Amino acid sequence: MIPPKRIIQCLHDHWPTIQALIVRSETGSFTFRVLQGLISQHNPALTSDMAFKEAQRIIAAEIAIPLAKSSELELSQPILEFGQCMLDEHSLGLAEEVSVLVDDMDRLINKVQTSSEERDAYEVRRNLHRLDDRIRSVIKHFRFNEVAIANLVEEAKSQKSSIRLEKRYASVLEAFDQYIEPMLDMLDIYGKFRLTTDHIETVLSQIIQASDTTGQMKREQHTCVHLRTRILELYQIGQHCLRRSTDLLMPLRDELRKNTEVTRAVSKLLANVRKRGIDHQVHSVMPIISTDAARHNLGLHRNIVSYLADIIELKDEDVILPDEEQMMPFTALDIPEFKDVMKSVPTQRTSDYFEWLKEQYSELPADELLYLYLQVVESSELELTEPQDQKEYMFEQMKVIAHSLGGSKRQDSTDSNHAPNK
Amino acid sequence: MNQDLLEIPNIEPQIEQEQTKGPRGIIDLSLMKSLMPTYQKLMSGFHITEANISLWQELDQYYIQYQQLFTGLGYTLIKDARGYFYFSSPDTTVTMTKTSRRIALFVYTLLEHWADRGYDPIGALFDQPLNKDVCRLVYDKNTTVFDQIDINNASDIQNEILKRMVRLGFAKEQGKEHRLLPSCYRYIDAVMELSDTLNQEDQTTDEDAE
Repeated sequence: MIPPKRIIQCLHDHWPTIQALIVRSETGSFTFRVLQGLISQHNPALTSDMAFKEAQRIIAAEIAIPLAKSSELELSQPILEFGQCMLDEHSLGLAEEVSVLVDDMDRLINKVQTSSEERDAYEVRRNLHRLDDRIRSVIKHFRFNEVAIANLVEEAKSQKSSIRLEKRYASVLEAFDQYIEPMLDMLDIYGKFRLTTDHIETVLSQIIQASDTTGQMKREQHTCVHLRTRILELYQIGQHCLRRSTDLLMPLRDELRKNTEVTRAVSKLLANVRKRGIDHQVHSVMPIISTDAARHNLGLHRNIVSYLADIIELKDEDVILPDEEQMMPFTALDIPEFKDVMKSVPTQRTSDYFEWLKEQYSELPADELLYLYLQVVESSELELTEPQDQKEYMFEQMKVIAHSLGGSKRQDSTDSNHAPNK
Repeated sequence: MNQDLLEIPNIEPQIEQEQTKGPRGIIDLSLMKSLMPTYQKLMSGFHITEANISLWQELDQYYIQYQQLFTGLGYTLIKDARGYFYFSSPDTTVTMTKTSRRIALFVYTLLEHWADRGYDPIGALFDQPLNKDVCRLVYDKNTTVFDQIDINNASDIQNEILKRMVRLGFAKEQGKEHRLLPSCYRYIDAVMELSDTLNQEDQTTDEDAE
């Protein structure tokens, strides 16, 4: 068995080539030469030997597999399905496929009903899972077929007008007759699809109710509730998908649509926008509208281009660290301990403690000094006088305005409520 | 010298002389009575069509003079034979590019809509009135396209796209309806140009694959 990682790596390395092969998958098989050519086209840097080896790698990973009794290659089915899903390149399925699935759903719900009556929880669970799988498959069919019809319609709309109408719309007519009409019959209110979904819904409701009453199969009840929601949704999805597909096909089928060069170009562009996104489709040729105010503002295309050009050339300036010898050694601030400060506070009356601190510790920065001042004046060891008027204290780079507080050291320690106002 | 006479010595008119009114190279400002509103409209990115009849008539009549004057001022006045005038500029802003893209996709989805309904698409584009119902139908059929240009419902088409089209001279209001103006041909020309490019790309890809 080939390790999945190797296959994924190969898909990643050669996605443009594989994408091209998926898009043209309807044309059938391809030769080794074509594969090699596509690899060279998407990887111009590779030499022909390297492209040969890469092509062999794709075959070794079984992404492309040789056809029986032939030198031709084809994409392996799982890879083709995965790629089509990624690229919205589905081909229209058959109404019979959905019909078979609906029949199977009917068969499975009968089994669920029987198992439920026999109280066989394991069988109920197993069949519910299988039923869930069938419902998912039907939803997938609806969605894929809608995309496939949209692709058919877009192709028919954008084909050259010189092609005869019957030929151009051949695929559209075929799609309508072989898919839409049988599906419309099936989704009809008295059709098979509606009857089956109604039946499933009834059986599931009965099981849920029985589980509520008896308290048995609680685990299965949860799955039943989910499944019932999904089945209700299924009918809606089927109708919506079919309605949208019919809307797309009707104008072509009835030959109502007018085809001109303009509509052909428009259809092609819109199809590209739907599939590949708007960014690379319309930007290049869009009419330029500009206002005078905008022309003199920033944000113009050329402003952005020049800005980006500048960014490309932008280089960070090299950070040059100074030599160790030139650097001043780091010295921690010599902040005095509060206790020491209090010891050195003069016992006699001092008119302004801030001034006194400023003189004593002249090397301290203003914020440290202010902090010290706050601690000093809040200290219970001092007896402060009434605050004076605001006073300015000049430092090297700043000016501190504070109420000057004076006082003297008290003999007994009592609390003081005075606080300075800054 | 008469103040209303402005001499532009070095500019040669590009169109045949017989269309010119007044002496060659001399612009008679007294004849250009709507110069100011015309300039203001064109400068704001507006397309002057026959919906603005007085401006359009004067521009059509004195096209050479207007063209000379605007060229002298650094603008390029473009006249399209299908009936509209606008200032061409090589540069635009990101916002304007977004607006232009929205208008483009709306015009294209409308063309598709009228073609699907069996009308002559270009005729219907200009003749059929645009109302809420048409916007809703066009939106419903092209949700994946409109999602890509941040239009999330049919009323957004009216509020975001049609209002802007009116402001730029691509549409006019008629009561509760709108009608598109010939200036939309700019977008039709663009899609034809793009179609040629896409066809060439397809051919190249086919040849390469073979």
